[in-house]
Amino acid sequence: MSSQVTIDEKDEMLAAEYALGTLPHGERVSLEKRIVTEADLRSRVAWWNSQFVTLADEVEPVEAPASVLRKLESRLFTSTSTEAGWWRSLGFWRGLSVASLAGLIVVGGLYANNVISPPQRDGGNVFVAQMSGENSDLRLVAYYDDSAKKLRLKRTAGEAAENRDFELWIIAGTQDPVSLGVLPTDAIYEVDVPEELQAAMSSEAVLAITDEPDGGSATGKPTGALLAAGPVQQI
Amino acid sequence: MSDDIGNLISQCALKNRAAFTQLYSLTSAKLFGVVLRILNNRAEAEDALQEIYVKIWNNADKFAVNQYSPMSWLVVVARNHAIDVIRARKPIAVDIDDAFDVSDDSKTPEQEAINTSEGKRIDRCLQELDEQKALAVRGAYVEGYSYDELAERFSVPINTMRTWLRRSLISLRECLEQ
Repeated sequence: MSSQVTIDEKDEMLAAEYALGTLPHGERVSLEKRIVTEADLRSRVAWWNSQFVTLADEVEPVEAPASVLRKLESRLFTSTSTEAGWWRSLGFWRGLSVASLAGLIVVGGLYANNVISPPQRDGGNVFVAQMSGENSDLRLVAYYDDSAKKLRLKRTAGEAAENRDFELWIIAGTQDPVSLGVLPTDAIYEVDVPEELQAAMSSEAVLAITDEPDGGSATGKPTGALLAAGPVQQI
Repeated sequence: MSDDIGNLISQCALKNRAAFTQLYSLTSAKLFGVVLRILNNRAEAEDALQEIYVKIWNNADKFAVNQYSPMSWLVVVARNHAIDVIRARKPIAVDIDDAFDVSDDSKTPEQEAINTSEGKRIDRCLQELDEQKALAVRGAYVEGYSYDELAERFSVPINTMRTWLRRSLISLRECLEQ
């Protein structure tokens, strides 16, 4: 057992004070760094810990609120749901169906206030989407005229963090998201919709923005947090 | 129970989620009690408990190679985290690391070890200390008192408190190693 390990008396006292918990913050932090690399020091800390730990027997258990386990499970076990994709989660789609009606009303209001120009009807079909999310202040409106094949975006609130980019995705039905590229810093921006995605710009599609590393996701799939999303709707 | 907890920790190392949930339900009340006693603030204790079980989940593979009983390991992880939080919360203004040399004046305890068959070794050894000093050690461990708080409680200057406590630790070690 580690009690046979000997270290110099100053370190021995630091190990004991660390285990007892009385070491002041600065000394505690520097000792913690040493524990990682110094095996003898580490085993003396472990020895003191093993001696003191029974003092905690007198502490009465206290039931923790159920929310702690819920948060833990969602925090620890969401890695698979990230792999499966938030775009496949029921919560995402439920949130969108609530947002969709509100989206139309807001988009109508934006036209009225000239926040975005009303779509020029060239005989094509016109689609709009309003993107927002609970976890960020990012708000965008988008419209698409299927004769011009251009998606016009206006960001009304929110900016990308330093060294991060906003990436725009289109999700058609149950397909995986397809990138429409990284948003420039301009508040108004037009993107050409590639031919293979033009059919997807129907009422069934959803536009979404994620937080991605500088230059966009390297994997071709969203990797960062979902910041804003909204269904595409024909008007 | 102890074997169960050990098995559940090993299962966590294999990323068995059901085992984690079961481990949590068996052990979280004890760990929450320990953490709450130190932090004395429910919201902070809940956050701390969450962080502690994240550490347990992530470090479960290290349990096999350490020397504690399963429950002791969990308590040590929990207590360490709570102490990290409270020390960071209350950084002390005075630097008290004025290199006390206590090794020279450490004295051998003159009392015989009280050899009761019941009680744990640490309890028996604490009984060999002055009552006040034993209380200081218990207070530091169970309540998470800092040197400032101990000094205030026992109405001694902070440096005196640290010297006291270090001497107590030396006496404790002599007793514990017997």
